[in-house]
Order: sequence, then structure tokens, then C-alpha cells
Amino acid sequence: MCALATVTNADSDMDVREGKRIYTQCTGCHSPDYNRTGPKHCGILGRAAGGVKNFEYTKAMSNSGIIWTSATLNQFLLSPFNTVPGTSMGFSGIASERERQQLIAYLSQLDERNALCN
Amino acid sequence: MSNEKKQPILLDRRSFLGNTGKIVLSGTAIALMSGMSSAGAMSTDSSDSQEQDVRILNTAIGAEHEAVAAYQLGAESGLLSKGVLNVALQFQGHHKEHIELLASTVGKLGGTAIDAKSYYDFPVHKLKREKDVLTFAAGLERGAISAYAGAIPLFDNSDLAKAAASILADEAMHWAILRQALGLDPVPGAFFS
Ligand code: HEC
Repeated sequence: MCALATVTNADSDMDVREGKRIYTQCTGCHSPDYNRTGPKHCGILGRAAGGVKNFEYTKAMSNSGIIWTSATLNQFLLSPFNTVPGTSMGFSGIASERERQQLIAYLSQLDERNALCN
Repeated sequence: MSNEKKQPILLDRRSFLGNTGKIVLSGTAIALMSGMSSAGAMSTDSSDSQEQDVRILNTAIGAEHEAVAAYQLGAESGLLSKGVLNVALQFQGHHKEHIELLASTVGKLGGTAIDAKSYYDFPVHKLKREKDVLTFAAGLERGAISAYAGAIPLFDNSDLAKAAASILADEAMHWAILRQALGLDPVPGAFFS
């Protein structure tokens, strides 16, 4: 569990804010705190893909063997369909590395310390 | 400059509703789809890419079902005034038509369209006034527009992309109307992301 990148520097607040804005591209299907068309995102960092209870994933996702870290999220969000062929997440991906990093900064703070996630 | 100043929630009824309550998408959408001459038959796609299209369409159907359920919740909340209620039901009707179109397309591609969930985990406790319901609906419409924008590049079949764009346009109109009703700038920018 120690390899997770945690966001600690001063730029991070800005990244989280920008990431929250970018997250509006996800809110057609996801909310941080409850399952919708897509699974909730609270607690995503460090979780195994397909790991939210009561959400019906595709086999492709459940069997992907992915653990969600900054690196795997970065790859998945660049191209969900190439990273997990057979996924039902109908989203083409985010081409900008910077935007992906900002989004990941936002996703990473959706943990138990975040009021949204309690 | 006062933020306190109450924004009118509604435009006058005529401009809000337009002059007819009629649903206009279906004709266009059906024309689009009939132009497809049966996606399955004409497609030269590999079955893999058709399966991919079916998965994308089914995810969109899931999101449309959520929208239908959300408008139902709004309609039954007792929080909507008559004019707003009519608009909500009209928009709900559009979402139902989107489902019909998407589901028939899934069928043509040899797939099975997913059904609505039996339960949606909506933030009901946050809906206390008409404005809250409109804000909730606007959020869903906004999300749906983004979702279609993110899905369109994935379609292997450009007819599907075209149909999805037609749905996106309809939902963008919903979003603008809901924002207008909330006293927000209905069209906040030249681009949408
Ligand atoms: C069109 C709907 C849709 C959109 C838009 C969407 N997702 Fe998803 N997402 C899904 C679905 C459905 C799944 C489950 C996929 C599966 O089971 O194959 C999923 C799964 C995921 C997962 C894996 C979660 C887990 O518990 O294993 C992550 C991470 C994720 N999405 C992040 C995002 C982010 C970030 C965005 C915005 C950039 C986004 N998604 C946009 C529908 C969507």
C-alpha cells in the first residue's frame, strides 16, 4: 500500500480545484459518493478495479487485475477502452496529461477524510 | 449589486414553454436512424466493434433511465409549479424517446438493451424547493451532454455518432432552459466540455 502517490505540495490545492472542474466530464455517470451509471469514486485510490460493492461491473473490469493508483488511473483515463478492452465506460478519454493529473489529484482526495465520502 | 435580489425562477410561461408542448426530437431522430438502413445489416464492422458500440449505447441508455427517474422524482415531489411541471414532463418524454431510439439501435446491432434500475440513489434530502429540483435536473442534463460528448468519438459507426449528437443537442437545449429558469446564464460559453 505504500506506493500510492499522495498529493502534498502547494500546487496540489489548485490541481484539486481544476480536477473538480474537469470531473464535470464524469458526472453524467459518476458521483463521488453514490453509485449511478458508473460506480462511486470515494476511496478509489488503492482499491482494486471492480471493487465497489453493489455495483455491477463488466467482467472486463472485474477481471482486469488493476489496482487504482495514480499511474493506473492515468493510463485508464487516457483511453478507457484500450486500457480495459470490453469496459462499458463509454468515454473516449482525456488527452491532456496535465488535465489527467489534475483529475487524479481530485479523485485522490476522495478518501475517508473528505466530508463528501462520509 | 445585490445577490439577495431574487431571480425569477421562471420566465413568462409562453417563452419558457415555447408555443407548443410538442416533442420534436423523435421525427429527426427516427429519420437519422432510418437512414441507417439497419445498422447490423449494413455494417462491415467486426463483431468486436459492434459489441463495443452496444456497450456504449447501453451505458447511455442507463444514464437516460436515470434522467427519466429523476424527472419522475421531481414531478412527484410536489415542489414544482404547474408550468415547471409541464416542462419537466416534456423533458422526461424526450429522455424516454432517447431510450426508445437507443434501445432499438441496440436491438439492430444484435444486443439487448438494459432496463431501468429498480432503485436510484438520488440526493432526495437536498430537494426542498423548486429551485433545488431544477438545479438537480440541470446537473443531470449537463452531465448527460458531457457523457455524449465523451462517447461520440468512440462509435465505430458514424451513423451512431450522428444520432448521439442529435440527442446531445436536445439535452443541451434542456440544460439551457433549466439554467434560464434558475436565473443563470443559459449559454455560459462558446464551448462545452
Ligand atoms: C458514459 C458514462 C461514464 C462516463 C462519462 C464516465 N464513466 Fe467512469 N465508469 C462508467 C462505468 C459504466 C464504469 C464501470 C465500467 C465497467 O464495469 O466496465 C466506470 C468505471 C470507472 C472507473 C473504475 C472504477 C472501479 O470501481 O473500478 C473509474 C476509475 C472511472 N470510471 C473514472 C471515470 C472518470 C474519472 C470519468 C470522467 C473523466 C469517468 N469515469 C467518466 C461510466 C462512465
